[in-house]
Amino acid sequence: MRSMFRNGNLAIVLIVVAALILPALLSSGYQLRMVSIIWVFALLAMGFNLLYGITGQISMAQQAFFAIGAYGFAMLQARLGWSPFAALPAAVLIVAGVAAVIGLPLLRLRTHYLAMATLAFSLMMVGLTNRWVEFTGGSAGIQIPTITMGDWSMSRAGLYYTLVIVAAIGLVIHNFIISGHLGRAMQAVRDDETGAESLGVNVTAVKLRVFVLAAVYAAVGGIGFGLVSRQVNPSFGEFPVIVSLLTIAVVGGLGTRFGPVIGAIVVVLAPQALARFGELETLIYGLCLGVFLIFLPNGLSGVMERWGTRLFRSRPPARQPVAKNVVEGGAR
Amino acid sequence: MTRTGKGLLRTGGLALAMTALMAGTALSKDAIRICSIDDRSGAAADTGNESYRGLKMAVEAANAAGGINGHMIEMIEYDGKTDPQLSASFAARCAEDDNALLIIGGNPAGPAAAVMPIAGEYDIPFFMLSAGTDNLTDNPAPWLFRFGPRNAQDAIAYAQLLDQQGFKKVALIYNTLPFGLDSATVARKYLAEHGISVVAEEGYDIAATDLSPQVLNLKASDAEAVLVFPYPADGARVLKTLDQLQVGKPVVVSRSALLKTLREIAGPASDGILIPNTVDTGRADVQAFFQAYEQAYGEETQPTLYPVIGYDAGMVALQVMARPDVMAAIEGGDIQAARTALRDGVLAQGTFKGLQGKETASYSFADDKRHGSPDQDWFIFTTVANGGADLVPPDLSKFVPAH
Repeated sequence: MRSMFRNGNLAIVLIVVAALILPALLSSGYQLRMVSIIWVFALLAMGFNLLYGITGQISMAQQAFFAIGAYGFAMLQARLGWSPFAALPAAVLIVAGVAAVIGLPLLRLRTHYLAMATLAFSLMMVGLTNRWVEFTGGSAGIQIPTITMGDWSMSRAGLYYTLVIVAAIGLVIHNFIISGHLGRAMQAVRDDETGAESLGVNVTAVKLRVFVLAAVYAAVGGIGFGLVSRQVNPSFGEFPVIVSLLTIAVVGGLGTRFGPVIGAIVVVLAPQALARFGELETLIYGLCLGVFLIFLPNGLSGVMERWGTRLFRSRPPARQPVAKNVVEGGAR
Repeated sequence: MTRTGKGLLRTGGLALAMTALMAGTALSKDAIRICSIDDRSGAAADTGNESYRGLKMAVEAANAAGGINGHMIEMIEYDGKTDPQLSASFAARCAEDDNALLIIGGNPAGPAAAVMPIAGEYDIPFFMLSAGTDNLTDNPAPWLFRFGPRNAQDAIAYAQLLDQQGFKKVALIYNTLPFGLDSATVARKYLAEHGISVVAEEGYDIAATDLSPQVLNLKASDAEAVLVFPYPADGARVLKTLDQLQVGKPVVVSRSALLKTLREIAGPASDGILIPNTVDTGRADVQAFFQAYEQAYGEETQPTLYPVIGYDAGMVALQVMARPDVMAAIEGGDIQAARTALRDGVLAQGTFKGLQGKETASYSFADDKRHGSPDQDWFIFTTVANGGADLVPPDLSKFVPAH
């Protein structure tokens, strides 16, 4: 049981069961929209968590991949008449290709240089989406039709369940990577690139794989967001998205297994809950973030994982391989 | 209250009061909910706050006069924070949880564009305010009505003015947000139609602190005038840089220069600039509106289009709400039928007189025309005086190319 909790499998099962039951407790499409957006942001944040939280590569391009995924999905349908079922994997492949092409040169950079270079890429994308009006629709964006097949069309609830399933798969992959060989290599790269290389880790390959994987997570999230919003516009790639992503990291906990999901819940729902405070809303939101930064540096997920570990500490822990402990220590 | 203030209440609230009285209403009737999603913080906070206040004045006047057929108007307010996705979520909340009759808001293009598909999905009328991006009303959007002018209409106005004043070469400088980019695109088109060449052009990031390189390029050109398309804070930086580097060319700034923030930051550097406005301060009803606005909010304000757009959108909504078919649906408790009747009522009535534009101009909506402002008789140029404090009528005899 303890092992199941620590690997996160039980928690994933509980999260998915709760997510599947949730629509029965909601009273409106608006509420369904909000919980759908939670899964969209959770997917986006999972990629960022792998890239920055586990591998230590600070990238400011996640929102650009989020937008490219959504634009690709919309434009393949609107401009080329593709079906959504063909446009979806094609858009994800486009994003993976773009990430691989820009990742090769950019990942030679480290820390804030990488952040600046990826931010520059994002700014280029925002400029492109705003300026190439004939192609991208400019600030009005492009409408994304509801997914249909014959007489059947996907309802809001159908879209929500699809997002839950996709996010659950994303979470399983996320946790599998953290617990496996690649996860250990990613943490080694984060902690000391030279040391990792001396131990036989192909640093360039690890960084590139994770960069592409994080971009794919962002693309899937972007497509989901486009479907929820029924359109894509330049704001998908703009600054508020990366701010939301960083806030999820702070609130949920960077480098934790469930930080992306918990952070997304808070970041999506908090502005709605605080709307009643009117002009004080932003102040309260900012104060709460300050409290998280000072008192909960590992976020809510860090706290919950600590509680979980204490809960199952009644029996002496089973002997673990050394490498396994390293992984769990790294996955803060 | 002054005589003009009372006059405004008479003009604005009389029809509504009559409707209420004639119906012999009871105040216990359910309130009609309308949603305001405006950007009251973030980069476009000035426009959002002013529009919101204008809308609130219209609603309060209606409620003071007994509501619409005895139904008080309840305004549900959300701050979209200039965040498109937050605005879209609030729009869904308005439609579903709040059961609002319509949504009024949308000053920057991004949030307005994000609310549009939500309005379409939930079949709820969306009265868009000052968002100027042209193609927002190009695509079929059956629930959308735009009350502010399109950027193309601003461009038509200043291209006509520059042509009339004898300018042949101009320089453009704009921020790279949708508003700046879109304004620059339409400026090129309409300036070319009037035979005016763009001889220099600079875009800048809204957060750029030093605009000297861009302004020096404009200064080095042989442009006879400079056209600026900014948001408030960056616009002030452009004007200060133009002043500090002694560019010495006449300057036209887009409607964002009407906002107090820009003029306060720019100070004397904003004096003498020309701004297209849609508020004719010669109109008695406009004067009365701004007096009432100052009394309501306890601060001196300059006559700009932003509060007027909110007020006009609110007044149109209130007028159409009083139509028998809308009222029947509201009283029958069928909110979706009421929304449809409201939309159809706007189209059926078609023409509305508001406070924007010259005395002779009106809003007009049709099935294939969802922006209400006409191309002609809508703009009145204004200039800044007294260290950025005041908006006053310009002396156009001085607005000519330097020879």
